[in-house]
Amino acid sequence: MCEPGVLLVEFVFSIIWQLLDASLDDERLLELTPDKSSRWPIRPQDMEIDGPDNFNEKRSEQNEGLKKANTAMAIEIIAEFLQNKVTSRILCLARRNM
Amino acid sequence: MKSIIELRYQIITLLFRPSHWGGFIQQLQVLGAHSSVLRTLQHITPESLQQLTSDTRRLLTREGKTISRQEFHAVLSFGSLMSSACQSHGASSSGFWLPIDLFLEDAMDGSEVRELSAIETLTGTG
Repeated sequence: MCEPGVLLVEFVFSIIWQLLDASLDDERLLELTPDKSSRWPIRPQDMEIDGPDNFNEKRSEQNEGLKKANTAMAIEIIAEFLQNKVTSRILCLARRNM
Repeated sequence: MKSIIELRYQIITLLFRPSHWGGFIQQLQVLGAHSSVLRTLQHITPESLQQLTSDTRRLLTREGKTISRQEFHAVLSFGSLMSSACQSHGASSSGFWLPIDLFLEDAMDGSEVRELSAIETLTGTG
């Protein structure tokens, strides 16, 4: 019994929630939430960049900038999901039917 | 022996139980209140995110028993979207499960869909 509607709802809602948890984790804000941790596997695996120039300061500044840009994009997507007519209706329908 | 699909459906309904909505909203509030990255963005402000959050909270919590005619039509139009998408792929007409569930749910808890005959609305003659 695989309702296409249910899968769609799962997809939309899980994307938003994962982005939310990941953004909170980026900014070390998860400890302020009631759960204190994420229900999703949001820790990047095998993504530590261990290169010979690991101690290059410019590189890590660049990484910090990229990480912030990543978080910024995630927050923008969350906001878009919440205000977009179609996805916000999906959230509404999810609530009503579960 | 349950199929994977059945198990998955159970996981979904467990995961998205109404008790989880509160956590989702609270996390949005934490982000809005404390995120420094949010304050660097040009098109969203903490205030607008808080507004979105309370709009979403209103959508997700059962604060009003009756729904407006607009909301009901929004549900129906989405339902027919899903229905035509399903039918074009040869799936069952599961597109109508959404509005019909809504109607039955309202009927069971005694609240009413305001002023409309649901049959008329569903068949488009309302």
